[in-house]
Amino acid sequence: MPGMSSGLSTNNPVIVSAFRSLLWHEALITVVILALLMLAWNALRAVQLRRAVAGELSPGDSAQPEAAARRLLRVAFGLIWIFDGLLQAQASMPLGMTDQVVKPAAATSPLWVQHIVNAGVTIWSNHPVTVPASAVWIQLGVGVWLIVAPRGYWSRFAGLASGLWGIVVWIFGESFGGVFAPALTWAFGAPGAVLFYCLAGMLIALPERMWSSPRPGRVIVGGTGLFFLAMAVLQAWPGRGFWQGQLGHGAVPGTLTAMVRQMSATPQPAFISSLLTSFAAFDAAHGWGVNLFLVLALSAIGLSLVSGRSAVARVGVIAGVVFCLADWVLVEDFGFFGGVGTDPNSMIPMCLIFVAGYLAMTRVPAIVESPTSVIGSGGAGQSYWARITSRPAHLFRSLAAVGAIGITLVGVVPMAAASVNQNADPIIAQAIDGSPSSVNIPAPPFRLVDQRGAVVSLESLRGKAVALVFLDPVCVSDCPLIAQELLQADGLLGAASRRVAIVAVVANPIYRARAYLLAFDSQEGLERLGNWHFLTGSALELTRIWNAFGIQVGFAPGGAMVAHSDISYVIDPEGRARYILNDSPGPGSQASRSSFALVLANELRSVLKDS
Amino acid sequence: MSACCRPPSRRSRRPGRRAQAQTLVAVVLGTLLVSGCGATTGGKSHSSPRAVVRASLATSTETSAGSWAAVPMGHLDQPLNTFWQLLFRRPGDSRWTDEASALAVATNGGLLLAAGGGKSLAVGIRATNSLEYSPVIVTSDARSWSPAGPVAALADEPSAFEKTGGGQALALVREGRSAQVLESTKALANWRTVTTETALASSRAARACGLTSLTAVGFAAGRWLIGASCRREGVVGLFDESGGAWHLVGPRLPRSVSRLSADVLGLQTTTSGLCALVGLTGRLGAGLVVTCTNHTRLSWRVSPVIALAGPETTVGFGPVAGTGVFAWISGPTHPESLAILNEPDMTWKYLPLPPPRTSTLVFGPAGRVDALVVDDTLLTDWRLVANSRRWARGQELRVAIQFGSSS
Repeated sequence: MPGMSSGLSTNNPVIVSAFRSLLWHEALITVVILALLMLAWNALRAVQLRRAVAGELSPGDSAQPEAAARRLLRVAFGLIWIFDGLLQAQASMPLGMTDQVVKPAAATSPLWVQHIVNAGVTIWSNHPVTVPASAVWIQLGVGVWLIVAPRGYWSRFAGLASGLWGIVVWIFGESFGGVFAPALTWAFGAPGAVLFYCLAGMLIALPERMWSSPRPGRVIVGGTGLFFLAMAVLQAWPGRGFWQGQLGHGAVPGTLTAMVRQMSATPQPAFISSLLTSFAAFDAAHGWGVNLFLVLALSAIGLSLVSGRSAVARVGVIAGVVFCLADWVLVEDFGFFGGVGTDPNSMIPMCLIFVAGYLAMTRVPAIVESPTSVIGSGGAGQSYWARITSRPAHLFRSLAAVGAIGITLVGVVPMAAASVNQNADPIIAQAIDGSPSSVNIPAPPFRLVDQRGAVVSLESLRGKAVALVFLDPVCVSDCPLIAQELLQADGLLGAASRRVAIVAVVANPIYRARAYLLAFDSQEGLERLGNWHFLTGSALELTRIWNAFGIQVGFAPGGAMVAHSDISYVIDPEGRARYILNDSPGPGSQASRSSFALVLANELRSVLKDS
Repeated sequence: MSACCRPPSRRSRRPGRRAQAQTLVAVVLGTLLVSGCGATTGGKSHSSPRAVVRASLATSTETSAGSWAAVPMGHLDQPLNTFWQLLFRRPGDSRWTDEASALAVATNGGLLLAAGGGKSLAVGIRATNSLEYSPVIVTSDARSWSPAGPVAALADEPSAFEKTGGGQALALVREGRSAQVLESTKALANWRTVTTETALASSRAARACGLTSLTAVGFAAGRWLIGASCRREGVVGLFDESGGAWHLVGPRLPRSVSRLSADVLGLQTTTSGLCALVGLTGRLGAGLVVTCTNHTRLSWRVSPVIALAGPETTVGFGPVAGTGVFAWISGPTHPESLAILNEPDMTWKYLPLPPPRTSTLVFGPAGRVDALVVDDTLLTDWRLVANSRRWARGQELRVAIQFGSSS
């Protein structure tokens, strides 16, 4: 019935089921990839054994050991990506990600940010199964890739992939980390957790010889110090609501209090929630003191990190870690609860960056002088084939990296395809209205007058596929949306639309004059369709046709619009009804309209093909 | 020699204390800039805001078939869950019936009643949600309804739709920011443009008033009148067209309020002619006057000024059978008042305040006065006891509203 439709709930069973099903299918593909790699491992080990028997193998790899800082970044961010990938597999991600994560994050940013973010939202909303599943595999793949490829180009490319995917997530998932939003603050995660992933990825992608000097470490630690100082200034800036625990005599919570209260409402274990509630109450009572502490702590940590002295920086690093962890628990609420948590928020990645910087500054790897070692290459003077067929460890790492890339591609390929496909997936229409019923029965005949005054009957439409809908020209909700779906379906049919008639029968016993049909056509832009017929007739004729097609039309009480069934028919060129669709437009979003249009166009094509 | 073994240069030995300091300063300045952009300002406006006076869409009217009232019901704080009810009461009957279902269209946007002193009632249904034009439906007996031709979206003004007993009709419609006045000369079937806000604003008459917007349409002395809001102080924006040109035909305001700007809030056909409700606003205060003319020629008489207090005032306005018009003034900070204008001598008579949550007042035949009180889906009819200052509780009517049906 018009207006009685509900939007798609976050846990819509059709979408969730399709999402899980796709994840299992893609998991199967990754298993196949891994099986192929095991076969390759077996074959290449056989080559190695043959070469060993022939005495062709060179001595073991004596390359420079990996810098501790790089190893920390690589392994830790690899694990975080894997964790994020697993979070992406939560059932509420397909429909909850855009409405509960992305749009709220973008809502306070400037319009140009919202426009950019909206491009990502559109792709996700149009393909609510493919894209979320792709995100799972990309993040799992990048994570595994970072972990299994410790050295050489495999590893550096893993860093690059991490950085590039991080940029995508930072822009479209985090709305540039909220850096353009007015409430920007370190405490809430500025400048966005994933920006630290990007930074880590770029550091891993650097030539490995860079880590043999303390300079990168100094730059990282100093840069972090400057960041902390900048955040301290921002935190101290008046007029942003941080100096007050409550505003307006307690009527409105201060910025930090409001944020913590909001986080405490996230579904999570009770003891964590109560921890946040207590901190919110404390901040409400002592807002000025809490902010003063934040400003002083940020400043002190920042100054110690920019000092350039290891001993002072060490104190700053330890204090920074403690401070970040406290914020992670008390303000950021761990970041991954609530069913749509996508990552552990910014504090852990931030800590990893400056701890890695400190390690790079203080623990420079010892140079191993070896005539056969070239840092970062994993071997000199040998071809790649010779290296992987001579060293089991190298072979294993290479194959593992190839496997990780394979997992990543399991996500990248469908996501790329989805990104260029502007039509929403049919699964959305199925989630709203169920699958179309396939039938093969003679369609009830009709003979009515269209909006131009021409007589139109089912007989006169023989030879054409007919999309038959029932519309109320004064309907305020569903019918205008269905009209837009019909317009889109006609566009999707392209040249085939010449063999299709899009027909609507009036579904209002009062407003059935042609003037109303023309007003509706003009409102919806339907007058530009040459194959569009909006039919009307006497109340008796219309009632007979509604009954024949099983359409219920009735006056609704209390000033509601006339209620009618949202059912449409696809009739083949021989006049037989082939599909019956529930055409309730659901939430009426761009994605749901596009999805229904695609379903209708596909079915019209199908009956044209069969005829 | 690899980079790690090169002797450190002087610059690299002292890794840029000055550069570090410069970077630090740059970061701090940059942050100040960013924080300045993001900071909320607490600036205060020094100019005192001008009062707002608006007319209520909850109106009532009389036809020979009976009394009609447009009443908003449901969740009044949610536009798509506010459903306007069309209530009808036959002459001599004490009970109201709900006719909204007969309209066969969602009524969230409001109902504009046009009786024009005739037998039939035309109801214009304001466009809402995804509907962008206004259906119009007509009845002469409240039993059978027939749709008239649709009209573009009727404006959010109580006097945006009016008709005469002879079947002529005028509609003030708004498409986007542009307002137009449309005319239907026969049975409300087809509509033609009389003028647009832009075209009228470019006329000499409109420049004389400093026209800001069109607000009402009405019929008096054999001609159409268009009401408007004027920027120029002391000028009442009432226009008619003759000889291919638009003319200002409104009255001259009393000297005491000639420094205030006038907005024509509504035009009401009465037994003896037409009355205009005029809101007066300016730096010196706010007020309300009613100006009336008779059926034969435009000759305006102006009521005493009712002073208004508070930043916002809503005025309910409608006909009082055989007497003139009423004005029911309410506002969030303003004490309510209900006054009847006795048209022959243009004097105000004050009545007792209607009960709380009154939505619509109906001044019916034989001096009957009803206050229709709304509480979600429950409507209660309170009747002013004759020769008393007391309201008596009467009929209760529970309306079946399908919440969510328009969203």
